[in-house]
Amino acid sequence: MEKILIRSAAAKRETSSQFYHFLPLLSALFCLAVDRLLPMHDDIMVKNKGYFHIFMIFSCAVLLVLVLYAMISPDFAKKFRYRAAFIAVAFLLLNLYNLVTEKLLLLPQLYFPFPDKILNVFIGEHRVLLKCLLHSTRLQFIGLAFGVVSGFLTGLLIGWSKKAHYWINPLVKLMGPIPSTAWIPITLVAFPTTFGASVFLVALSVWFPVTVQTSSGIQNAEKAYFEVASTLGASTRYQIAHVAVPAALPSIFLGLFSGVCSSFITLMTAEMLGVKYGIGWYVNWQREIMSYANVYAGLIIVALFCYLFITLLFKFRSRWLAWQKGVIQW
Amino acid sequence: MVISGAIRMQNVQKIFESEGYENVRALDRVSVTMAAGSFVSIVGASGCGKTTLLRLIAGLERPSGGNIFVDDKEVAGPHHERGLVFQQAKLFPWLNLHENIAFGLRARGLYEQERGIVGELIDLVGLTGFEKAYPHHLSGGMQQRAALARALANRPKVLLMDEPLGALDSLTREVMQDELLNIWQSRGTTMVMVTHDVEEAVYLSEKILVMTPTNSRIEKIVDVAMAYPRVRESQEFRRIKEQIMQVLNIKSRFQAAE
Repeated sequence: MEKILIRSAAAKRETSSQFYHFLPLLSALFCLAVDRLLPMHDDIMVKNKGYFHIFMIFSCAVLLVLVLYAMISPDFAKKFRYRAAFIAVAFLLLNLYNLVTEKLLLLPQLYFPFPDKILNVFIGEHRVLLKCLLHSTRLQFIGLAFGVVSGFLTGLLIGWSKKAHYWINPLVKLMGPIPSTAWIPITLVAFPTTFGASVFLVALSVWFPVTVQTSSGIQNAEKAYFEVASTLGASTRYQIAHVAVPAALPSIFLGLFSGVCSSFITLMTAEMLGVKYGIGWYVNWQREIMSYANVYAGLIIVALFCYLFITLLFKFRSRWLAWQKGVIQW
Repeated sequence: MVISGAIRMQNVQKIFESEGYENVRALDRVSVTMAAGSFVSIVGASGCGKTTLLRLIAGLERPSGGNIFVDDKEVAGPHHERGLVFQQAKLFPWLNLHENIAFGLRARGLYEQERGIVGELIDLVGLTGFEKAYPHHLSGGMQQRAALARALANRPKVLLMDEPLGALDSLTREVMQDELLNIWQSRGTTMVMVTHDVEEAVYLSEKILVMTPTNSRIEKIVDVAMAYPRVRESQEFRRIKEQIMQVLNIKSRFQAAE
């Protein structure tokens, strides 16, 4: 008797988890149905291009494939079950947004464009958007490279040499906390091109956290490691490269992480102020001409760009800091 | 095998100066010699200056007075001929076991010629198969063996150990004591070990320096002439142990009365 009860409970759990697999698909189908069956609000003058419809059909197809795949692969089923509720709710919210904008027009249409209109921007303006994305990426990478290298070197100098600490550290303390965007008036004058000025601003926002974290990482490295290294015959230079730097690496990564995060802010602000092309520039320009669908499209690209960038950073981290036990979760 | 690594300390003093506090006299006119290839232990309660003595020989501290010679060369700073093992293994956490042991050879640019030593040492300390493991995957005993191997890779004349087995459980400890003997006997390295475990000192050493916190000097030097391997239950063993305990106890009782 007891056994049967247990078995039926297990079976129940099994079916309910099977049900979980279908949740995202059901939510997406619901969204598709709402979009299909309800007419567009009469007051909307813009044509619906049907992109959102295609997008939803595509989403449903993908989800169907995932459900089928979850049936074969138990490993994937586990992951998929975990994410299922989230995906389902995400589609529900999208559905809701579509409903209150395109179908019922409960929000002012100027500021809250319906999904189809936003998708339309992605397709219609993909050339400009791509160009902007390339510009931003280039600016971000060049600025980041300068910032990381200079921050690492400054941090190394301050962290290792007492003399450098005495002379340079006050400067770092004074200049570091100034938001890099506050430098804009000076940089615009000091640099011949706005691109150079923007690179400088991005580099500056990365430089400070990397400097601080590098030097504190080195200063907090356990003294015993240096003592062991010196009794093993390591020269000062060898100790810097093979003890100080690796010991500081987790801390340097933290600096890099916060530097990258603040560099996004700087990047967007710098682009809004002077540079021609770039996502920040695009968003600002579109806002000025009141075309909010384009603003939303730009913001979605910014979000994806930053997300991808930080994900890459963490991939890099898990490769280089595999030896580290405690890790920041991303 | 040419046995080298004789240590001679003459009137060595160490005073730690600290602003706002009284200066601390860690060592007061210590003169002692340790023969090349011998096994010397320094025992005493914490605060008696035994670690300071070891760090002075390592060259990590400079004496405030007096001289230290190793093979008639004055100690001027850390040197790869004087290897050091701490109580905590202090393996570099960013290097795997093999890389940790190879650290000294790499730092000195000898890795290409002498890479074979690394494998031999891993064998010697019984860690074969763990070459690629990172320190945090190893147990305390394994880490300490690795730290020994790391210090030995440079073929030091002197191996300095600061309570090397202090953090290990008692079973691992006894196994490691025999391994230390093995290493010492097969390599002829001068071994200087700081410990607060009197039995360990008697089991391993030819010469025991007994220190007390009261006057920061070597209170007594005990020569142990018993043959290896020593039997902990033998009368001679117990007599020597008792003798050392007496020096330590009398002094500590004396202190309590103060």
